[in-house]
Formats: sequence, structure tokens, C-alpha cells
Amino acid sequence: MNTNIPYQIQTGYSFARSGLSCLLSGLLLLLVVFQTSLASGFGDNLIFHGFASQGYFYSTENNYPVLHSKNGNAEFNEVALNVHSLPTERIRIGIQLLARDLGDDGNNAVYVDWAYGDFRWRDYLGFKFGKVKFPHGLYNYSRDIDMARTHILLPESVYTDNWRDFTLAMEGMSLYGNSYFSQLGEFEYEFFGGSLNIPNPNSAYWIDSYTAYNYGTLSWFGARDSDSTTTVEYISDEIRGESIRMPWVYGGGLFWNTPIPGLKVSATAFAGRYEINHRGSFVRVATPTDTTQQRTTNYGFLISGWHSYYEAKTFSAEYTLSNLTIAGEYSSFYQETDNNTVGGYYGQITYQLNKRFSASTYYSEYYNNLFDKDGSDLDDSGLNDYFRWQKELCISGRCDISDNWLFKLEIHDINGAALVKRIHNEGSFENPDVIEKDWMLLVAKTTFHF
Amino acid sequence: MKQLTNIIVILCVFVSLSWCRAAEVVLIANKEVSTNSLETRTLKRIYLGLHTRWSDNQKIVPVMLDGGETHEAFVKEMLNKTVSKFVIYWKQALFSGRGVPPKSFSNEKELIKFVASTPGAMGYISGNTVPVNVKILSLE
Repeated sequence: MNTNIPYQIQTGYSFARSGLSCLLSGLLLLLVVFQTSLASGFGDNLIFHGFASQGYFYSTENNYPVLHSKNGNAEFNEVALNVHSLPTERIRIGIQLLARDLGDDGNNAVYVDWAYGDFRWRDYLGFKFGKVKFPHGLYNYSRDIDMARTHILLPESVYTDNWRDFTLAMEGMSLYGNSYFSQLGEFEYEFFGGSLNIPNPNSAYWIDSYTAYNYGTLSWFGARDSDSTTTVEYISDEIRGESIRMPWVYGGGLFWNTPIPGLKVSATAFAGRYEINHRGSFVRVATPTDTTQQRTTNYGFLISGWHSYYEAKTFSAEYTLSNLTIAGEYSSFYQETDNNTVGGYYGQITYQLNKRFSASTYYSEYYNNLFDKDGSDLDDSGLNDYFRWQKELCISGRCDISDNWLFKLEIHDINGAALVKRIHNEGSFENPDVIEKDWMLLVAKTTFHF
Repeated sequence: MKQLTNIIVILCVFVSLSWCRAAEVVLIANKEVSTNSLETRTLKRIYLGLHTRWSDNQKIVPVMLDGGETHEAFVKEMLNKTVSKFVIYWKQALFSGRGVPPKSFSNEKELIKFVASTPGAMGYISGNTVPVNVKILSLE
């Protein structure tokens, strides 16, 4: 069969995308340059902040997390601008515009990252309405905030980019608050409900999913239609997502700052439903067994869709002692459609050497089936066992060059390929050995923020 | 023996110099604020945006200095955090839409003026600065 499954990323709004992205970048630059005068010019009730970052990937053996990373790839940046306003002492409103690029994903399209109205009635009870970030583990709130951590990439076992669309922010309402009890410590909570909007049904993760789905379906059709006189193959030509809807999602998080100084533990969970439609054109190639002459037919479109209930649970602990922070998290993500649970865990140590330098290391294990960690069930699919897991040792260094500018460098020593996208590695659908088991990833990033 | 004495003297001088250099921090508040003292835990929660009301339900308006010895001493000794972690805490809140850090001032004179004129305001200054038109809060 064809060694390459072609695919096409559909944008549909490229003009608006590039125009808005330029506008956002220009606004950010102006704000950075004139932030002092703005701070005084707009008064105390309108507060602007923003950041811009640029990163670089270089990997050995496998392209990850973007196409052509084996040759080095700088398609990795984020730009954000937010404004907060405090019209009354109990009400806060705000919006953040974000543009990002990660290989084929994002492409610097500007979108509303969050936008809300927040009424804080008491410390123990507040309401937020709008597009609101929701809790998932300790660090989902700050997922895109590079200056909030030492390493560049969050551990993929809990914060995999595959789940990004499920975990970013929802449109609806959340209740939040905190209470302090002298003997028990402090409790913070947030509960939420609403729906999720997927800005682009053609991100690399979804295209990879459609391609794998179509590949399996077309192989099945080919085998069904072949007989002793003719071999039939159906070859995928173009695949694209039509829509992804997440009509409802709900969940919550409980964070406990324990009476032991510096020790924080948390549990977060959410559940929802997604509905996916995609289409792919394909051709039928019939080859009689007594001749080499093929007969190719444009066969039209395969329109497929599926829906599923899903739920995620994460348990976390973080201990801080002066300049040292130790953290560990476990997360699982269940999808009803294939009755599969993916997830993993990691442990992390971060040390702040001084005001300018910090170092961090983590070890992370991710499995795309938590009940088949050794990959023995993959034999039937023709995949190597290491497509079941991805184990990473990451070492990171951060330098705050000034109060508004930082630089980071990190290296990942990786075993396994559970998160490597086959669409990024040519020929891997037909020959999985194209994707290697042991490989490395180097990431560098610099960020300006104010 | 004489060498040991010299070392001890040098150490004592070093320690005393360090002591002198450590900034003394004084908590101040608007004169109309109903509270005269704060627990350390409450102070920390105020500056992390978790405790927002005085005991008479008036809004707390915490303010801080941009940087410097007094700010570093306040964050480290009274909030029990490193300055880096304090900055990161508020960056996370700011860019995830969960909160806005306390207003900051580049000098103590402006900070005192703001606290004196803003109902519910509180802040901190160096022990060497004379507070004008504000009240001093004690730490329990």
C-alpha cells in the first residue's frame, strides 16, 4: 500500500489569523515599550500584562513534537495580552488573547484564552462566568505561562498536549473559594460546568487520530473486497476534520494546604462528552492477480464520526522548603468509546539556585493503556511494544536575564513512542520501525513578559 | 589562641554587620482600618489574595514595594516565601485570570501616601522610615 498517508491541514481563516496575530504582536510590542506610561495613563482600574516567547526543538531519531524536528524546528511560540478591570470592589472582569504556534497547530491564530466576569461575594464563595480556565492537576491553570516554571514542557504523563483541547478552558460558570482552619490548614476549591469549544478540529493530534481510524477502516474494506482473482486496496487521499463538539463538561478541584508547612495536596476531576465528524477522500485500486495492470477508481469520501463520554482524574502533591520544590502527580483519562484508560505519573525536583538561576529535573511515565503497560496487546496491531509507553527523564535550566526576560534550555532522554505522532514520521503507518524506541529531545525557549 | 580570638572577633563583626543590614519591616495601614494586629498566617493570606476583608467586612487593599531590601525582607520573613516564588505565584494568577497582584510602588513615600488616602489599604515600610498619617500594625 501507499507508504505515505497524505493529509491536509485545513485552516479556513488564514487571512484573519495572520492579520489578528500581527495586530496582537504589534499591540504587545507597544505595551512593552510604553508600559510605564500606560500604567499611569489608564488609571488603577485597567491593568495590562502580556508575554511573548519563542522556542526551538531539535530531536534525534523521531520527529517530535512537531514535523521536521530532526532537522531543528522553530515553529514554537506564544504571544498573549490580557487586561483586567476592577469596576467595583467585589467584581473583576478580564480577557486574555493568545496566539500560539506548535508545528502545524495554532499557526498563530489569535483566540480568546479566557474571558470572564468574577463576583467574589466572600473569600469562601465566588462566581465566575464566561470562558474560564479550569483545574486539572496542580499546573493546568498555568499551562501556557512559560515564566511560571523552570522547565519548558510540562510532564507529558499528566499534561500531554493530546489532551490540550479537553483541558484548556470551558465556557460556562464556576464556583470557587477558600477557607482557613487553624488546625487543618487551608482549603481552596473550584467547581465548574459548561461546554468546550475546540477552535481547530484539524490539529496534529486530531489528524493523527482520523488518519489512524481511516487507515484501519480502509484496510478492513480492502481485505473484505479482495478475492482469489483480485487484490483490492483503498488508499486514503485527503483527511480533514469537519467538527468537534463538546456539548458539556463538568468537574472540580480541591486543593489542601496542609498544616505541615509547605505541603500541598490536591485532587481534581472532570468529565464530558465529545462528538467528532471527519471526512477523507480515497481511491480504490484493484489489481488482478494474473496481471500487474492496476485499475484505479476515484472512490469518493469516507465520512466518519464517533462520540464518547470521557473522564479524567488527577491526584497531586507538592512540597516546598525554601528554594526547593518537590512535586508528584498521577493522572488517568478514560474514554468510553474504546473502553481505554490512558495516563501516567511523574516526580519532579526544582531548585532555585539564586535570583537569576534555577534548575529542575523530572521523570515521567505515560501509557496509552494503563492496563497494558508492557504493550503485549499491541502484537495484533503490528505495532512494537514501545508504542505503548513514553518514559522521559528531563533536565532543565532557567536563567532570568532580567525581571522581564528569561531563557531556558532542557534535554529529554526518552524511551518509548506512545506520544509520537505517526503523521510526523514518514512511512510509519506501514512500517512502525521507522519510529525508534530510544531517542532524545532538546528544547530551548526565551520569553519576554511584563 | 590569638588567631582563634581574631577569627571569633571577625565573625562577630560579620554577624553584627549582617544584622544591621537585615531590613526591619514595619506594617502600616490606613488609620480607619479597624484592626491593630495581624497573625502571620493572615498576613500571608492577604498578600496571596486569599483573605480580602477586614474584620468589619471592609475590603483589604494590600500594596507593596517594587523591590529592594525592605521588599525582600518582607516576602522572605513575613510571607515565608522567596521573592522568585512570590513573583511566580502572581504571574500564574495573572495570566490564568485568577487574580491581580497587589499594586506596587517604586518608593516608600508614594506607598505611605497611598495607604494614608485609601480606605482599607495596608502596606509595609522600612523601620528607618517615619510613617505619616497611617497606623502601625503589630504582628502576632
